[in-house]
Amino acid sequence: MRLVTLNLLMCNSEECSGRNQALTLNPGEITPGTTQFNHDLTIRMLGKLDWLAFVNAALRLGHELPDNITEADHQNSELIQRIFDILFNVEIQTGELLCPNCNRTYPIEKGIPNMLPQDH
Amino acid sequence: MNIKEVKLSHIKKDDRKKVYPPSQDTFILIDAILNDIEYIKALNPTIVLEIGVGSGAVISSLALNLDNAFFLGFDINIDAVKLTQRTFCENRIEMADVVGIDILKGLNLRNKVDVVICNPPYVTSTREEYLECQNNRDISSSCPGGENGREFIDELLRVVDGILSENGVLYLLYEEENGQFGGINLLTERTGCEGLCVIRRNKNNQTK
Repeated sequence: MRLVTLNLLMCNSEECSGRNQALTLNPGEITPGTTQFNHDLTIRMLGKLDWLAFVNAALRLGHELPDNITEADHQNSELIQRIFDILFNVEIQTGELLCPNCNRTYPIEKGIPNMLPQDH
Repeated sequence: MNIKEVKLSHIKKDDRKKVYPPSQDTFILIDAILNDIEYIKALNPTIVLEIGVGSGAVISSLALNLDNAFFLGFDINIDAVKLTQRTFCENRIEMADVVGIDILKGLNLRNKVDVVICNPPYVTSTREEYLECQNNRDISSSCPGGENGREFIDELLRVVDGILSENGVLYLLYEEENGQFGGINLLTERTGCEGLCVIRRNKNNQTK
């Protein structure tokens, strides 16, 4: 799983229903991705991201990003490339997603986040 | 135009016991979507989501023929999720992730998804059988669709209208006897199969 996917998920427990509660990543094994840089896709994805949640997730993996992104930043190819690499080229192989509101955790195994109920 | 075909030879007998395998309806949906590829390219989609990926054949077929998008696959059967990851890998599809998740339990995708694809459970069954099979979260979840085979589809349409972006579209396969869901029918007599329909439907079923 990449950080772009983390940004598109939310806690789906009954307790957090309707809250749009972002999940915190507790990373285990991380591997580098090899996806080729795509400037246009990065800019379009920026329009869909919860930027602050992304900044926080990136920080937990040791990547510092600015608190906000302006139109002018779209021309900063070094920054856009860095955002692309953090979004698409950090493969989270194991770890867990933690809901800071209800404390539910969702496992990530072999690169797959499992948000299904764990009752069987 | 040069259409790339998905490789599925890695799907073995054991997988077919646990995951809805590529079947006639799968290939009808793939053909309908790839016939519509110029329309999809013109949308310039950022996020493509398949709900109920099964073996991953449909989302991979689109990913192989559409650059500049990110592909997300969801399924409630964790074996289907794992198989789809292998299908991505076998087809060297990198711009894609797959998640074990129940779409009816909430998604952080409001107005974000540009293309949604779904081959839903559409076979007419009792409501009890539909609910029980959804709850099994295994291969049995892929067929029974409840009364008139449309209980899942009706719930899906509610979710999809919330997550589609302004110009987003849904590609949906169903059976004639499920009823009508608006949208544009993409099957011709040549591409079709008796009783099956594939539609392209705009957000909130607006006609554009």
